[in-house]
Amino acid sequence: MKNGENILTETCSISPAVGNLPKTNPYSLSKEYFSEFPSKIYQLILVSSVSVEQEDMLLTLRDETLKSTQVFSLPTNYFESFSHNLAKKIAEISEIELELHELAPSLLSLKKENPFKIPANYFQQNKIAKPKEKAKVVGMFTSKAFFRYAAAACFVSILYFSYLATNTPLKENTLATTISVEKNNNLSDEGMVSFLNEVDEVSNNTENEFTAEESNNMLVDLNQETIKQVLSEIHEDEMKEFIELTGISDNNITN
Amino acid sequence: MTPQNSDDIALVAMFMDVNTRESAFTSIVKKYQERIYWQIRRMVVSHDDANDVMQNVFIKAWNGLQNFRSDAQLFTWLYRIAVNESLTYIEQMKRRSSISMDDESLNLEDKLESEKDFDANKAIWKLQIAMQQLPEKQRIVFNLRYFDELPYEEMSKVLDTSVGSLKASYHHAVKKIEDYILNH
Repeated sequence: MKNGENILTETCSISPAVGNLPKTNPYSLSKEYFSEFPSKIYQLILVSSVSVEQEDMLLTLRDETLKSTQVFSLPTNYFESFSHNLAKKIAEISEIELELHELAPSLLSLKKENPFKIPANYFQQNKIAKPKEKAKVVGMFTSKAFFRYAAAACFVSILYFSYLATNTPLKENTLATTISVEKNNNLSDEGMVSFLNEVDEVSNNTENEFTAEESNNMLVDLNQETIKQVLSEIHEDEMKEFIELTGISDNNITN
Repeated sequence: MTPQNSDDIALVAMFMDVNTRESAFTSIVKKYQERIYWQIRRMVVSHDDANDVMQNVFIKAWNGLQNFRSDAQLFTWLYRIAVNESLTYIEQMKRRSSISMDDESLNLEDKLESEKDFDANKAIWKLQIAMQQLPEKQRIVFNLRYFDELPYEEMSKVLDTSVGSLKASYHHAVKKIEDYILNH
């Protein structure tokens, strides 16, 4: 072997120690391994891929089996569907096994047993247990404290709104709200003019009212001496004319 | 065209025919199984692991042979599958050991020690231990060159690496093995 000699020479030139090592195979192996391997691998491939030829082979097998098993009764169309079902099943299994083989070969050796246990006859017991007691209903307004707090809240809110009502300048507010409402309602020019007139009237009325108030205040400030002084300055004839016009009695004048 | 190559072409042609597929495949397996097996075994050490990889290799070969190009060499192609499957298997072992926090599945030295007739003082076992210390690529190159006596050109096709790089890898591998043997 010329190539072998070249390799030995090359190895010896790199390292004589390695080149001179014996090339004996130290591993042990059963004698049957290589004689059995071709058939084993072919069986494995058969399982992993069922082709048309293998399906035909199964059909031939079916016919032969039918001929030799005439005495036994079989379900109708058993063999017609058997090969198809078998091939389908093998294909399914082999696909899964091949996938698992590629992903994790060690898992293939594991048994697919369920490690979990269930009580005996668990699935035969179809009874659904009814609840023993009716659920207790808890009312929302049973607490007395709720009514106390509600009454207190009502009382406080009444006080607050009454305070607001007595201390708010009502007319200014109404005027301001009226103006704001009018602004928001895009009025025409005529509408605006009539609105301003109304505002003027309101303001005049308020001025008159204030004048009357002022006069009342003045009357309140007058004492009896001032009144007598004013009355003494009026002539008796004027007084009589005034009494005749108004119809006030003498008793009222003296008072 | 070498006789071996012409024989392989005939086997592949037989495989393409449905009627002779099984016999052709069996012939291919019989022809290359030992060389493929020992290549894998020296990589993964234990027989069970080697057997798993062997099955993967030939299942892939069955599935891939229908699309096999006749210009490529059958042996080179099979070797390439074997190398890839070995590396994938070792990678899976590494992942498994990192998940399980258990080094046993990966420790190839331990597997060597559990081999029948193992003797750490014997040179042939020392060589195997030294090989397990090598990086994976150097181990493959050393295996293919030292034990399978593959020419660099063929190795280049198998490993898809340049001849210069393979020579360098082989050189480093031999030096490391020498160093181990002389110091143990």
